[in-house]
Amino acid sequence: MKQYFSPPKILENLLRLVLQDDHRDTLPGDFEEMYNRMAGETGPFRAVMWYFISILKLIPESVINFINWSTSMFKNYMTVTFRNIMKQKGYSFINISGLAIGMACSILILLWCQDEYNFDRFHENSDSLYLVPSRMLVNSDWQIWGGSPPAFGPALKAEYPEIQNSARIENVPNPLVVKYKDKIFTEQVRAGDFSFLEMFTFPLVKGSLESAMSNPDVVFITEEIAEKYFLSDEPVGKVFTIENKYEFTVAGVIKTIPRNSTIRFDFLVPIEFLNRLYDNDNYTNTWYNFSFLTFVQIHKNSVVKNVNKKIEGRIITGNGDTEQAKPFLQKYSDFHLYGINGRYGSYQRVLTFAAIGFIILIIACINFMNLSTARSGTRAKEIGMRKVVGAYKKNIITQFLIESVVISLISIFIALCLTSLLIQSFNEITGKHLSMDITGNYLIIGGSLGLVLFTGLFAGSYPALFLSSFKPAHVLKGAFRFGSKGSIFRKTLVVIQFTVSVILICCTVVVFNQLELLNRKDLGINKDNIISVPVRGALKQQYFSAKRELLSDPDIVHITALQTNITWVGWDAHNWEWEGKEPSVDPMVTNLHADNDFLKAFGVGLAQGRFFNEEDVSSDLDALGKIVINETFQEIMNTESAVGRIITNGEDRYEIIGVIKDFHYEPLYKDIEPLAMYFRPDLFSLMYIKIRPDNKNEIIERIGAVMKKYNPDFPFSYRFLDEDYERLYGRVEQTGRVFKYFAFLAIFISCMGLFGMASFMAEQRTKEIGIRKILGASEPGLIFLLSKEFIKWSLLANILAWPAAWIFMNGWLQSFAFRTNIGAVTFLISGALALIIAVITVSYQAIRAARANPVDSLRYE
Amino acid sequence: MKTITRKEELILLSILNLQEDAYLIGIQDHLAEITGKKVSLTSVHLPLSRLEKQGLIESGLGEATAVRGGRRKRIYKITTLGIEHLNEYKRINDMLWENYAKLATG
Repeated sequence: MKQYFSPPKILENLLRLVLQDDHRDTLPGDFEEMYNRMAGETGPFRAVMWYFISILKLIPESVINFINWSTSMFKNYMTVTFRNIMKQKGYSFINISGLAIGMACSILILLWCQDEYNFDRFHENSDSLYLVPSRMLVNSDWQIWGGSPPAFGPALKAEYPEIQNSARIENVPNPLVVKYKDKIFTEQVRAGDFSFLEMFTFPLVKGSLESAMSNPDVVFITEEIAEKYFLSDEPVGKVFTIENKYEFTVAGVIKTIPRNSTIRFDFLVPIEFLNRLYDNDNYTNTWYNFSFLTFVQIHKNSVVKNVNKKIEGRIITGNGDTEQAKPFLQKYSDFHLYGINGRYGSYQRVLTFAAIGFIILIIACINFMNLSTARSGTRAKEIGMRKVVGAYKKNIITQFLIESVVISLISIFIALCLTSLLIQSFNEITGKHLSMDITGNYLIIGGSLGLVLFTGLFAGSYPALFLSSFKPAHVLKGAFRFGSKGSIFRKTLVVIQFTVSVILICCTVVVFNQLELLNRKDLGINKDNIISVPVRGALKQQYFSAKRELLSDPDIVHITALQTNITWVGWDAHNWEWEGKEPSVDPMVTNLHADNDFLKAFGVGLAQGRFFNEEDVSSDLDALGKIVINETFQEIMNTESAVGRIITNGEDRYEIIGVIKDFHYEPLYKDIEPLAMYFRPDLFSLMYIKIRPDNKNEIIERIGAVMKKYNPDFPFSYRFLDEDYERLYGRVEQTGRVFKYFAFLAIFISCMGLFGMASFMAEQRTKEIGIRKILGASEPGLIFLLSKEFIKWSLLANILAWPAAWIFMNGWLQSFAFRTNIGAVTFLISGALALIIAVITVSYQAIRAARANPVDSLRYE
Repeated sequence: MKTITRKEELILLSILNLQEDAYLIGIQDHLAEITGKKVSLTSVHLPLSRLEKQGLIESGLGEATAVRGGRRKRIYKITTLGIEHLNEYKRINDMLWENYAKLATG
């Protein structure tokens, strides 16, 4: 009795997997025969073992075979690829340069995003460093404030075991005059706890930290400052004089702060210095303002959530309330990207830029897809032949994928060269210092390889699939007609390209319109011909004498002074009370200290009551101070005339003596909010001098002379107010420029693709055009005929692009209180622009085709 | 001309002898019979494959049988090139074996 055994199916499939074509159908038979024999002699188990082991024995040969085959096929593919690139130089150039530009953009943006991500990550304790901002209940609204009360820092360290160390630092440095021997400069002096240097990694190149702790008269400086003042002398031990009063000894020199650090300082003095500077012993102990940044380092095992719960009620605000301010921990290294609790970070910009880079890459890939498939006619015979001699569809696909990867490889090298050339300009636009020294920059190296693979495979996918579907009988028979199969897909691609380009143009137009608006809007003040001079040193006490002397100059029109910058006042406070105030109303009121000539100097109007007179000078000690508010504040007070009313803030009481017309005192991101003005000369820090427009330089020289008289120890410096305003919207300008360049690039790449497509289609239709010409068609008529398609696509692209652009731009404009109008004009201009560019690109080919001599085109039939 | 190995010689001669039965398992059994030692399937298949690539043998498809799960056999045939290689092998062999009888016993 002959028993019949069949080997398990898995084994058989495994065998077939390992074998090459020839034997795949016969060898399993031999295996089965042998299996049968063995199963009969020694049992099925042994037979299965034998089967499996025999498969293993066949593997090495298989692998070697595969490698051999692959290498020779690969060599062939490479030869054919390069041969084709050289044969169609024009199209190859368009393809490669399009991809190279797209890749270059991607690399630049990758560098930029990497830089943004790397901010603040160089600190050793990075994982346990946190900023402590607070959620504040203001006006029944929860806001996020970055600052904390001065007393908070020490309290955190002392009272909570989870918190290993804490450090406070001022939010804004003080511009103070620093002197060493004959070198006098205005420097940004920052006050902070020296524990700051323990927590954060700012290594010392000279001096030591221990000697400085709890010493109130030492300062830490950076390497640049050391070089600036001491050249190559030993900095440690030298003494600076600040504001002509305070002496500080250099305790150490800090290594140059890396560019990607959010916290920057030139001079670090102990925080107690502020008590002396503001003549207030409680300045650093108070709970009543939020002007410091508090950082903490938590223990490795502490859980942030638990710590947050514990510190939540620690801050007691002015009116004894523990519920008004809720502090929490915010990871320091996340600060740059994500801001505080997700706001004010650069995360959005990173995403936007990344998206733009990706879009441009896609446009380049679409170009590649379209051109490759358009030129497929020239490869048709080759593909037919390959299939005839035994290539499977799979092999053809592999061939063309390899071809596009090779082209991508060529493109990436060109792209890297391009980025090296462009990186300087890119740095200028973005304000960074990116470098093309990518050795060791694994992200960029990996990213470049990824780009090659992605573009090669993605851009090559459609052409590979398209070309591999050619039927040999069809293509080898005769003239291969560029079929309409797949042309819908190709047309879709072109429309996508154009839609994106139109969207980018629209966005650029809107951004520039908004900039226009920001720069031209009526701010309610007159900023022409005004210079600002810092009020320092001796000038602080003699402000009025200096003012009188300056005003005797006929070319000086008005003078006033403020405690801060008129472009961005920034000082605000809440917890205001007045009779009849609704409890839920708690406005944030901006505080502006000015002198009696404020209205005249800035051309602000008075609505009710009166402004300050010379006699209305007040100080901290007044029982009832005088205050002027703006119209918005009056509206919030819900009264027709607030003149004469009394308002209080904590223990301070004020009588409203006048109401002024609204004006903008902050950048146009914010709307006008309530404003309160006081007359306290002891707080003045900036003098604003309105001069006559002629002979400005002479006038300024004269002002300088007067300043020298009143303030000999401090160098004279001044700024033009309108220049300050011009610089306010730097970030918006940057965005505008970036959009401009990217829109240009997108259009450029799209046009290259369009150019290629147009030339190809013109070529295809030479016979048709020849016949039309013979039958009497005019050249303009032919040009229109050829361009018709493209015009249709452009119009379609516009219709798609306009809503999308509107959505994006509307979202962006939300961050401004004052927005430009995204009008129909914007869309029409963008659409017209795209259309014109498309037509120009196409018309070159169209004109050439239309001019062709029919004799030549119809010669071979 | 590259010399063939002993194993290849045996395989080529088996193919010559077996004629229509010269398929993988047939060759394997023949070799096992002649040498008296066990011969594994793969140790025949790999040389066969190589010989075919070098052009010393050629193959065609033969009959299918049930015991092979209905698959056809691959019947091998020696080519002229293969004959040449065998001739060369035999020539060298003959030269060396010429005086064997005399030398081995004497």
